[in-house]
Amino acid sequence: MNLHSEGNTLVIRGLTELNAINAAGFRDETRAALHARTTTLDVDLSQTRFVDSSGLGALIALQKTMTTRGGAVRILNPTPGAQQILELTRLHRVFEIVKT
Amino acid sequence: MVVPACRSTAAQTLWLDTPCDLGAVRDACRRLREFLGQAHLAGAELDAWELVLVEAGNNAVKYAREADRHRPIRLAVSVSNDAVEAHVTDHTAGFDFPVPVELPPPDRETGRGLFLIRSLTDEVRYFRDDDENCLILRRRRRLPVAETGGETLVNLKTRLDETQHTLDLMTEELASAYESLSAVFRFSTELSGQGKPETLARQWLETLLPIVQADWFVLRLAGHDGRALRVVACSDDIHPAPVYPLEPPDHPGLPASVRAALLRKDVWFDQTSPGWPDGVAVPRGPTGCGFSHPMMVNERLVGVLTMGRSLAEAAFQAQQVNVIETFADFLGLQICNAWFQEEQLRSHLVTRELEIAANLQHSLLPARLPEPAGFRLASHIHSARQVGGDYYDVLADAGGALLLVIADVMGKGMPAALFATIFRTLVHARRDLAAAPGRFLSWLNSSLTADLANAEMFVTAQLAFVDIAARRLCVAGAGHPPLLLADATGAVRAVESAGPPLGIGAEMHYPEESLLLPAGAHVLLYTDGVTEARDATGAFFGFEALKQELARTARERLSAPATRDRLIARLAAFGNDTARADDQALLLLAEEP
Repeated sequence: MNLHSEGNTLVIRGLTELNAINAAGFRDETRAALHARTTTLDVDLSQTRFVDSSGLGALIALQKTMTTRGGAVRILNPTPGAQQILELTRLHRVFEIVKT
Repeated sequence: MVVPACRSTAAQTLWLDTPCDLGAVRDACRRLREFLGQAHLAGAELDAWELVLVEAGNNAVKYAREADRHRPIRLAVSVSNDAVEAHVTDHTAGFDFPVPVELPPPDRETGRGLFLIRSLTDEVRYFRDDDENCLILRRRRRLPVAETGGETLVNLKTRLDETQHTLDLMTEELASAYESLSAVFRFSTELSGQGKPETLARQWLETLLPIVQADWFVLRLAGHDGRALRVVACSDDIHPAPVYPLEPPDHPGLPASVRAALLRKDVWFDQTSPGWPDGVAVPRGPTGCGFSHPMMVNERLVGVLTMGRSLAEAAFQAQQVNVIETFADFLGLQICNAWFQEEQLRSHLVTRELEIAANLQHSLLPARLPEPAGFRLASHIHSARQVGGDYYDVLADAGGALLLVIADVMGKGMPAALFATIFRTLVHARRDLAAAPGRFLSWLNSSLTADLANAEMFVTAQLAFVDIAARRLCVAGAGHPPLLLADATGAVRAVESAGPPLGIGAEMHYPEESLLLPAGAHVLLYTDGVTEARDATGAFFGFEALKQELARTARERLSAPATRDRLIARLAAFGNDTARADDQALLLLAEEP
């Protein structure tokens, strides 16, 4: 996983899985990387072939963090598997999903 | 504890004893996925099982009693032809498996594991015991649905069968999952094949309202072009806007159903939303909530279903949303299915129109050619496609004179065939003009120009009046390839068309050229498909080759039918690629030896 800041946006890429094993680390490392001016958190799920409920929990935790800062989490190009679990749990309505 | 054994017959089973550790569970689930992959489960089913096993295994790790953390977790899967069953054995204090499993509120970070397990399986049972517990999960195997292709009749039929198949599967699945909905689907099955789904949709949706405790609905369809949403059904006392154009980009001020269509996802609203209440002019009271769900079939937007409630605080529960969405998708498939049927019918009609046009064209041609003294006639026509615009005719008068007619309508299908019909009618109506082919063409042109111009078409034609007794030939042409006249020595003369095609302008002059019929005369009229026949390399047969061929047949004093057969054989030997060739017509007059 790599984090990269562009202006007001923090982009997280290179996640191959987002699961019970790495969810807490993902959440904490991301929070640590937020700048004072970060208002958008882009989580690129284009490489993420597996997401479980713990991974979803981490995304919701970050969404709450961003909401308190007046920002939001965006999900970039989720793999079909990731998209499916977001839809199944109705979280595709909570996160803005951006496909490019 | 008594736990039933895996029920499947002829099943393959793999069980793994895994350390009580998240990483070990993850690895074990990868191995179980591989095992299921070898049993030929489809990709989506493998994804579902991998997730279900991970969720169950993770729970076994997270809630394991401290004293039992050294004991392994057993993960077992068993696969048969019709189902997969998994057993997960844990050493936790156990819990009461909730029925039904509710989705937690969107801002809660935990509690989705059981929901995923329940959503992705058909049957869940949980057996508790003092020492260990066992979770048994079962899921029927789904039949794979084939890829879809282009829009030929065969493909449409295939897609129709596929959607029908998917419908059958969905009906079966839903009926088993939601008892109250099954009545609706039985209803729909009884009615399928009678009436349009748009008409039935209203009845179905009325039935759905009490099931999901909704107060009103609006069904809007995108139609074939997908450029606008039109209301096709709604509840009694609401009056939705009849049409919404679908023009990106999305913005929050748009009605919910338009946003849902543009974003291809559910859009929720209540009385505080800018788009409230989705164009429903008279909602029941000042408050309310609801959502618009886009109905998608194979990436195609079929329409949007909006369901609403009068009380803002009573938002739809996850399970009700599931029922509405599944129902909407089912309805979308039914409607799409009906559209395919319409398209299929339309394709049949086009095919039928071409058949009619082909019959019409065929009926225009003379059934029998005249038999003038000392001469013979022969003809040939070939349509590259089902219907061409080529036409020929021979009119004989009482004195033994002949009018040879050939024409090529630029265009295909029904319009070309209709103009050929009109052309023939006009020629037969004024056969008194036969001896003056130039004047005849002028008259045909002034009669046809307005109609041809409207249809953006034109006609090339050639008329040749043959006075057999006087051995005189009078030719006039309208943008048509040159007439060929060969004599017994093999000399060939080309008579060019001096006038423009019919339909180019209103007042046109068509000069005539008079010639004497030489001894052993061969007169050939043809359409450009003959000289423009191509070989495998794409080269044209050409005008010179046609001239040489006619010179040879004239020298050999071949009869008209023999000459025609020679020319056809010569074109075939050239590699006349009929798949690429234009229409071809030949009309021959040859003096008998």
